[in-house]
Amino acid sequence: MDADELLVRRAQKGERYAFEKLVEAHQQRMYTLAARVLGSREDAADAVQEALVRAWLALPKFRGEARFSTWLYRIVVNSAHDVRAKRRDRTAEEPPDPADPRDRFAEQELSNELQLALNALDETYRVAVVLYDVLGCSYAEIAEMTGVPEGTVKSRIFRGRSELAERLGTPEQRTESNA
Amino acid sequence: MAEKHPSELELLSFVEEELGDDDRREVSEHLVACRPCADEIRRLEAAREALRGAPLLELPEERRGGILASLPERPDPWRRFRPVKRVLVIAAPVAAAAALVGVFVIGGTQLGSGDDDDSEAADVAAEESGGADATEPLEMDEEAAPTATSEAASPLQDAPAGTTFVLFAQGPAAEIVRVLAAEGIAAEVDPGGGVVAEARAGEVRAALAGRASGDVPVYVR
Repeated sequence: MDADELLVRRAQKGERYAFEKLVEAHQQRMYTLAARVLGSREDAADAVQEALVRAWLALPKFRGEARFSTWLYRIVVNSAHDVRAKRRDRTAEEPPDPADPRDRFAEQELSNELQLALNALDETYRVAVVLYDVLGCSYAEIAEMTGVPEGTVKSRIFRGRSELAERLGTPEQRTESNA
Repeated sequence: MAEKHPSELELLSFVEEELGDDDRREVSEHLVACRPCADEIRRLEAAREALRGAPLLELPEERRGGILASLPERPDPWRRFRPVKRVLVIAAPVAAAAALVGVFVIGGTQLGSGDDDDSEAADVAAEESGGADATEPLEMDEEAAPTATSEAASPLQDAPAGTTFVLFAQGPAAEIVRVLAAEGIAAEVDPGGGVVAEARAGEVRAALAGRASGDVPVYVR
């Protein structure tokens, strides 16, 4: 039995404590997913907040056909996409001061080499490799989360990894990047 | 063999060790003779190594607490409760709450089986279009919208005036009162069968955290 199942049932009935336990169990992976996809700790926290509110409200209709984690990560992926879109709008409306290239979120950026290489990938490739390699999701789970066939998931992982390796360069150049 | 390159998926499957013995041997022989494919394999492995070596990140504690504290109220306990009888419930505004946050719904509309709800896939799809509005304090969909009279379930008509529902707990009610008392929370069994506690909702939730969900409604005054 899925370890989340009992907690999900209790949270579905409105028990916040059970939902908090679910959050506790999944927050690290939710946040990592959002942060690696968005490349910003601040935006990632916003995406997780948005995702948890959506999950809390939608939970009564969760029927357990997918694993809870799969359902939750899908909501995180969607929330991260929305946060990115909002940030893009905000950036368009308020271009950063050219005299101060580091905007107010700059210090929150995940600026190691791996993250910079991830940021340069197409978003669909980035989501696929983060879900597969960082979170350890299966092809089937990623297909369910992203709404594409498994073959497409594999193709995205292949291309995402291939491009990522090109951007990272040799293993020697990467040794200090995994932070 | 070197003339016919393996597909992208075959190369990925080779790296992930998902190929059968024959296919694996065939790709392996190809790699000996084909530099571009061998390079591709090295890239796939290098990226995998970099990604899998990346640490999981921790949501800052202060953000986590803030997020949980900001979760909106949800009317689903009313909706999910399966009635033993069908009664007429008057949805009424609670004066103080109404003054502060608008209409507070008492009662719900769990009619028949909740399994007739929309499919999970549709729910999640709705997420993409912002179906669950984070800014909405109550989930006011058509089914749960307030109405002057709605046929609904439950001992909710017995909800004591001036109280706020917290959760359903496993009975008997007197035992819940004892559990709360052990935590320093004064409580009593309401004539309607529920339990009314003189405490904040969070304190009651914490005190009953280890208790299974059941059919005894617990309120705070």
